[in-house]
Amino acid sequence: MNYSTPILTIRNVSVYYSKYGNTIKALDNCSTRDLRSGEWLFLKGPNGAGKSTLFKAITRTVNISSGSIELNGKNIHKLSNRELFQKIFLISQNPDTSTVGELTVEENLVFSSPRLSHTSIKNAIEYSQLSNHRHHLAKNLSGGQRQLLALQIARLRKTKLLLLDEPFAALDPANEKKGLELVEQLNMDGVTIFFITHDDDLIAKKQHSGSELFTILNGKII
Amino acid sequence: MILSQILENGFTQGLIFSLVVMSLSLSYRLLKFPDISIEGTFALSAAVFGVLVSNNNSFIIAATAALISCVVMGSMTAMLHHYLRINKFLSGILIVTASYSIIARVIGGSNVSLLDFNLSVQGLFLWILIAVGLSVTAFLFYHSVKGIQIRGSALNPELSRSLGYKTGGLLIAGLSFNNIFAGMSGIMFATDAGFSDLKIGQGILITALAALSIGEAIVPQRKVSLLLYCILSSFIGSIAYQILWAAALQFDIRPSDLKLLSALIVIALFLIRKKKDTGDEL
Repeated sequence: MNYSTPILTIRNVSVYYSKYGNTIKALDNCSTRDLRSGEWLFLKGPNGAGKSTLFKAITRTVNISSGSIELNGKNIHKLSNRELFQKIFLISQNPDTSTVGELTVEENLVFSSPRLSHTSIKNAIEYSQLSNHRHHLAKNLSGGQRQLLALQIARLRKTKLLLLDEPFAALDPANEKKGLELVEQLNMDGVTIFFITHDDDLIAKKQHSGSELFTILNGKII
Repeated sequence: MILSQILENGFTQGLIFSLVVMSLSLSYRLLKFPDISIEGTFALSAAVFGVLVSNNNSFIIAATAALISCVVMGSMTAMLHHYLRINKFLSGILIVTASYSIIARVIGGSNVSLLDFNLSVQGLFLWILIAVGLSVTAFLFYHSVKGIQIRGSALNPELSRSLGYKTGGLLIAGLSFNNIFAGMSGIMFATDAGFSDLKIGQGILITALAALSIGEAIVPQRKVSLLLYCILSSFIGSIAYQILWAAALQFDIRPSDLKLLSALIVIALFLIRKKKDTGDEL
């Protein structure tokens, strides 16, 4: 059992907003198991159930109405942008959340990790098998290549918690496999994975090694 | 006027205005910020330069002071938009409006003459040197780490914030840098024309838009990077537009009709672009 400070704690989180005078409960009193370094946690649910809203709450894209989210024991609303995003990186189905389409592959890596040496950037490009696309704009890459680039950005930034919001849902099986291999590699390097996916095989495989699955329905974790 | 004169005049004027076109293009295409404050920057820079030079200051000192005023104009536009959440267009309009009062105070009269000011080198040679030098500077700057950060932040502010960047600071840096080009254009224009006044900035935005529209129709976007596309289309478009303009002036056009002619050229270009259906808006 890992008794270290949890990397992510979600306690009784609710997100409400008003629409046409009605209060919509996007998240209703949601809590998950504490997520510790190097673990996997899965989240499933139908469209509109609140999965992405939970990730938006973690990345402070939406304000929470009640409850708390802690990163390494600190309330995320007390952290600066730099402190929060040094540890967290979100990759979703939309590649614009994690890469800049109008920058080249190399420039994307420089943009996300400006202090890295030229050699480290070059190695990262080779590692992600994008050497032939080094000077290509990210928007001209295939969906799979762009997600590989995003994962490489997470690796270079030494992300502690990787939030994956169905990043491989639109990819062909070969690219999905490549992406998952890179996620596994990141996890072996100590990165904690919080994964929204409908890949039951992956979930079952990880549940064997102690990972947990939460299901969200109508804003409630059941 | 014979053809060679039309070409020479068009080339010289095209070089002078190419930098204000580049300023517009870099802000709009590269940073997705239609910065119309360049109209005020162009005139303010010419005014500051003109007043200092007419008071016997050197070209370098006068140009440096004028370019500092451009940086202030660019940064103010960015600050209005970022910190006060004022619409991008309105931020530019506010700065242009304010700049007329500032220019009137700087000049202190109706105009300032630069006829006594003589460059030690031939004008055209200096304009080529400045235009090429500044283009290379823009190219190197936007490929540096800071330049990539400015571009990335402008193109994807949400990601930029999630990477811990302060997007406001980067926008201020970007627009300040880009406004230097508009200011340099103003300095070149005032030197070439031999005067500076309150009205020299009027219509510059339309001129720059027309030139950029021509340039973008000529330069094949898919064969060059976006940055190179901005630089090349500014140069080529500006020179082509000024040659067209010089040719149009051969017909007996009343001076008061020149603005109408300018607007008609822009509309004609948009019609041509619409037929080509590039899918891009300018």
